[in-house]
Amino acid sequence: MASVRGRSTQLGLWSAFLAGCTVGGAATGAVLGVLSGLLSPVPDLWRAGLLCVLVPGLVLLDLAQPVLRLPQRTELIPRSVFARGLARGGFRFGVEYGCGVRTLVPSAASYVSALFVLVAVVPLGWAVLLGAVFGAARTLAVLQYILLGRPGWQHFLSGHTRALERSGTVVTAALVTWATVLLVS
Amino acid sequence: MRSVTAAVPATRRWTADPLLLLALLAATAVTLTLVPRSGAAAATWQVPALLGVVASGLALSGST
Repeated sequence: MASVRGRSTQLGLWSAFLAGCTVGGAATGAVLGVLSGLLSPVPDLWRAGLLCVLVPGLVLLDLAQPVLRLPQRTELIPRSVFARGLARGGFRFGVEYGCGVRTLVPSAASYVSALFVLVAVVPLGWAVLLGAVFGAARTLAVLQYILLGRPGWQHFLSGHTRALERSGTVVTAALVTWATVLLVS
Repeated sequence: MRSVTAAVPATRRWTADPLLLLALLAATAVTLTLVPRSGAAAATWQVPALLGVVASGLALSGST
């Protein structure tokens, strides 16, 4: 984004990126929502108990490991997605980035969210919405950069990226646990 | 690069940082838990679930 000049052009590209990320996230949410149906015969309390074991486990894993080692794709999204122009490229990049499985996932936060959708067996519509919101949330930092960023933004952020990833995991885990308690109560 | 980076005030840096958004989100969640249960929003699972996926999206911002 930094190589694109002009705020209006950047906002246009961000809009395409937002649309793509939302679609990509919604697709992942839909897949998780459908797969969660397999767990629907399991009683609510058992599934809540499973979450109460796995979510803290993921948090501890993220806090303990210098670099998160969980199953993920280790390749970056290729620059060739922009071959057909910025808008199309921004959308396509967004779809791959927003789905959360097509590139690096350096924080356990997304695993915690995915686990919640999968194990809590939320209604399919909510699974899709949660996925879409996840995808859209991945674009917020880019919007922050466009509206408030200054030269050196990426360098400053890279100084505490791991803290952001770990904090995000802790906050996500707390919120998912709260949602689980409300679901079973 | 170093001189340009140093010229930007720290407050301005943090204003444009996703960690601040994450902190605001966490503060919102804490406020919701402290609000009396009469608030309908605080009593539904959807609110923390939605906040949770936003937090997980923000957590990955460093790889943008």
